[in-house]
Amino acid sequence: MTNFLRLLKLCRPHLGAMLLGAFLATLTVLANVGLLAISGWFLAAMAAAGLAGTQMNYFTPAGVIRFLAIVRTASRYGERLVTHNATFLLLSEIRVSVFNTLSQLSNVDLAMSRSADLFNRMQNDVEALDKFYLNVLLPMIVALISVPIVVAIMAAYNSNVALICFTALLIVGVALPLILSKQLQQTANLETHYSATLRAELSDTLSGLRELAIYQATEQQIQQCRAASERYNQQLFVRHSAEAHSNGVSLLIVQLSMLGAIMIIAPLVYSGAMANVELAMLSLFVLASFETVLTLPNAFIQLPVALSAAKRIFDLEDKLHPETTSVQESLSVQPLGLEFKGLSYCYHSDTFALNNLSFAIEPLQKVAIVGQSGSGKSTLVNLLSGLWPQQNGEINLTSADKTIAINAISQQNRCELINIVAQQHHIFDGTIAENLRYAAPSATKQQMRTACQQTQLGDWLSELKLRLDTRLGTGGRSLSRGQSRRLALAQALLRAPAILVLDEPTEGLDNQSKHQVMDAILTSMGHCTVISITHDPALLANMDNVIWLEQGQIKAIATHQQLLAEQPEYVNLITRF
Amino acid sequence: MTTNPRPNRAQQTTLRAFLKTHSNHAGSLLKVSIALGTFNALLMIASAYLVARSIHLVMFEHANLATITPLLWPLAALILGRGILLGFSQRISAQAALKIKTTMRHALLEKLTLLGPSYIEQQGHGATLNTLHNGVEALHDYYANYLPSVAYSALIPLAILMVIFPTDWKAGLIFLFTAPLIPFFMILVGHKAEQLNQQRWQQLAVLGNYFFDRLQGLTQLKLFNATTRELKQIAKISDDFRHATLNVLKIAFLSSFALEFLATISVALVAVIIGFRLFFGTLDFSTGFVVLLLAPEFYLPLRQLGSHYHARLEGISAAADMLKILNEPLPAKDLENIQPNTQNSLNLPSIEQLNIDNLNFHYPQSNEGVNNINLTFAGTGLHAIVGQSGAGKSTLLDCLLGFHPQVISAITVNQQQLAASHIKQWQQHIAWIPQQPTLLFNSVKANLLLAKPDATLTQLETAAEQAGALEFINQLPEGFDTQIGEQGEGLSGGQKQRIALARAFLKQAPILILDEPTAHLDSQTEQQVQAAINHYAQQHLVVVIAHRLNTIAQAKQVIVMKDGAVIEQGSFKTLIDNQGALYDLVHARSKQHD
Repeated sequence: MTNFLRLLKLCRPHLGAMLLGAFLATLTVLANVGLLAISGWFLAAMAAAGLAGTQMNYFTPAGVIRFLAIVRTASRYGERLVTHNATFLLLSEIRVSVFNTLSQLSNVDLAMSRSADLFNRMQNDVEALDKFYLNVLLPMIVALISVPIVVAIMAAYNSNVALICFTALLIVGVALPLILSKQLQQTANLETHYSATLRAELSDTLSGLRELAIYQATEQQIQQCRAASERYNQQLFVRHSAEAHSNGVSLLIVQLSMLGAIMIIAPLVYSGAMANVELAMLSLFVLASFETVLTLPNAFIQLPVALSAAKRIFDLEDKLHPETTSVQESLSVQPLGLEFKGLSYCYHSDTFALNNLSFAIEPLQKVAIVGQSGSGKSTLVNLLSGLWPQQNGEINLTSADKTIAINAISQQNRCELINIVAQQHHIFDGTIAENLRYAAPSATKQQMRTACQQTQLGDWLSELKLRLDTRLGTGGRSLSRGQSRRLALAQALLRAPAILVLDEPTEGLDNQSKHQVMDAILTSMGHCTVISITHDPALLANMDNVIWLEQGQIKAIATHQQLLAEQPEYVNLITRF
Repeated sequence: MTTNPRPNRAQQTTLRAFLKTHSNHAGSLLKVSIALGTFNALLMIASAYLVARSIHLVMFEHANLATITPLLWPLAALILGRGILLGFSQRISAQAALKIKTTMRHALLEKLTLLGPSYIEQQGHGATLNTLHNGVEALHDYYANYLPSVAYSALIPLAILMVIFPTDWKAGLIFLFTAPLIPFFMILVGHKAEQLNQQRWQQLAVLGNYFFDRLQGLTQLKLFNATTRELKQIAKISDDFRHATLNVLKIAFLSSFALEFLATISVALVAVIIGFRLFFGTLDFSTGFVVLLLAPEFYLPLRQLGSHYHARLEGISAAADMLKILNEPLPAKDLENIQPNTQNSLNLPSIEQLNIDNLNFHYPQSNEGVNNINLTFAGTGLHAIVGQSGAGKSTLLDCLLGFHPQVISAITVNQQQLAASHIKQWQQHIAWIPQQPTLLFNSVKANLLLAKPDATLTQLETAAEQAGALEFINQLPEGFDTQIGEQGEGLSGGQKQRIALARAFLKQAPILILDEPTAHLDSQTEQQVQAAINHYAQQHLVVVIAHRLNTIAQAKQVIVMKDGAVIEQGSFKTLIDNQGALYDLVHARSKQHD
């Protein structure tokens, strides 16, 4: 319930549009109900008048019928436009809110729940909430307004008919969907589980075709997939048949309530307590009144889905702690060094990713970090970024005249000073210029072109028809690995930071792009302090110093040449084919 | 949401035909479902008559409840029948869809295994997986809802017309004339509206992609300190899209507007006309009321057809990917005919010598491949292949593993030339570990047993121990019975590598082929794995694509490849002493930028 209210609160800024939509939707429904009921009355009255040979004013009802027909169609059209508008408004509201929450959470909160997983869940959740208004809220409002109106009018004619109709409306609109939704919730978990299993089996089959062939297990694996597919579909069938049964029962109740109305009214007409034309009118009225709850069953089925999606999003929002860091200092971009003192970090309680690490980097020095996987290289970069909280020890920024703890400056200031080119550098779905502008919002096109030239992207850029306005596609799909690395370096150049941090910048590149990236790096290194994780001998040869980490501790600090000469193990570490 | 371009009208016709053929797998079920649905409509017509008759009797014949009870009982029975029929009809159509989906998925999977791994790599693993998983599921609504509703939109109005005409041909004429107007207007407005509707879905998808792309790049935005700016941007873009989309919707909704308008006006028209005929006594009330009851039902199937529009498009779009896979020609279908005379069994008690003679292979539509490879491997020892990426190392291994049957005859084992018909037997003699081994979504044990289904627990443990995996497997919550997640989730890269190694050891194949991981395993793991492989090489033939200096230094033979050809081979020491290609590879990199 609290989540529902919170969700409603989120909708508040667009209340006007949403209510207008609900009003038009209700109007549509009522016009439709009225149309059928009045048609029934009109027919009966005309027949009665015809038989009795009396005159009657048929212009008014005929006009009303035509009028209602037009009202119904027009308001339906208006309703669809207005409700879609409201949906889009809400969609924007939800996305902004989710994005805001996520952008304020620290990476620890995010990464602990596996980011890929979190991301997928977030996508499903946001999409589920996108249609909250249209599928859940709107049908409920429509039913809340129109059901009392319809039942009240009916009660004015006959309270018993109204009672039967109201009960039937409740069963069809609320009780059945609630039962169904409870059934569905029970199967929903299994459904998700089986769907994931099927996906995993299929994925294994596709990626392991070669191995399966070698182990003569292709047939066996295909059988597995077949079984998983069968099981998933059987589970789906449970849902589909529950829905089918519920549809059948709904139909039964709707028709039976009309039958009930006839049975109640027939004796009244016989005894003369009720005008005969009212029988025709009311029986059609009862039938048409179910239009008011037509979309309600779906709303009740969607409701738990939307609520659990909302719960997950609100849970994340609740993780937000108010900013407590006191910002005392601010540094301008200038040659800066770094000082690490007794730095330790644990992801799990007992294993140290970094273990009491201490070393210093002079302003403008170029330092490489090498080490096997698990030696703590990435943790060091994570801590420098400020997106991961420090646990033990200090990181200080040193300039010619003073030393400042890195935590004393704001995150914004830190981002200006330190530029990190991560291994999973994200290229946004947008143009080259847009991507560069993420790094440097005020960069001119000229500056962008220069940066691209400096990072060896000039030739490529001049071949593109749209130059800087070329779209790069999702995840930079149209870029080669080398190009996206160089684009990241161009972003770094535009930012002109005091400290440049590179994470395996030449890893996984073919030889030619490696050369180009290397040239780009050497250009970028000019006026700043550089820390690079790398195992590339060519890059190592260009660094002033190499810090060799092992199991979170320093194994050696020396120049590349010294290490080559003295440590055979180092040669093994950095030689890859 | 998909961003797939929607197929054009001509393609849609092909795809609909394709989907129709596939409905044959559950054709009878679908027919039963449609028959039940239509029967339901017939009962509906019958109950309309009973309702009208009862009301007529009460209103104008002064009947009391007892008089009409003989009519109301059958009515109740009809209602009950309708509820049951509706439930069963929907249930059966769901069952039909289910059957079709299962068959379709299986057909796709079978075809994909025939097309082989290189086809999947070409198309993209993710895209193919989506077709198999979500794509096939997208067919559900097409078969369960759209196809039946097409049938109903023809059958039910027809049934109503056939009943109405004998009763009152004038009312029938009203139906007959207004009915074609609906499809007519739908086509008229629909042509434009369909395009617009497609645009709408695409725009929604674009908007979704934009948002989720930024969400994925959130860390990047934080590093650029750009989150606040992006927040405004998201709001702005959503708003722009809202305006653009609403402009589109104004027109797109016109088609349903026209449809609704016609249906509603027709019902109103029927009511008014019948009202006047009743007034002038040219029609009895009972008939008039039947017509009024049936009028909305007459237009309902046509209107419902419109609401399944999206199911239709989704199904058709998904079908495009499936049709592509199923129609893909098999690369070498008549392989067996190439060498009809070779003896069918391969007899290899042990491997003495393995030769590759004049091997040439190129991927279609690509320059990658291998040229004129001639190699000799002894029955035991470590043989390392080195070369830069794109040098043809993986292609060479694929040929050796028998994944390219066209060129299998280039391989000779113990003087016995291999033929395509030998491939299955040949593969039994090989264990293979790719750079990123696939661990199946199953227990550790099941993954190992893949190599030797009848292995005992002792054999499992020995193999795991040799691969340096026993210790961590025993530390897993349920040991060998621990479930491995999708893509080996929950295990580190080194652990996955070692399980794959244990699996290979378990097979005890005379030949072990592996692609060394390029990623830096932690040093202890690296040494363990290295030692285990060296040990295995003492008794078996091991061919490895080497990425590390240590590996090639310990190899019996080093093969250097470049641009699809072998440019150098010999022992590590000889090649280094010769200062040739290998020497350059080892030393060049530290010299590069001096």
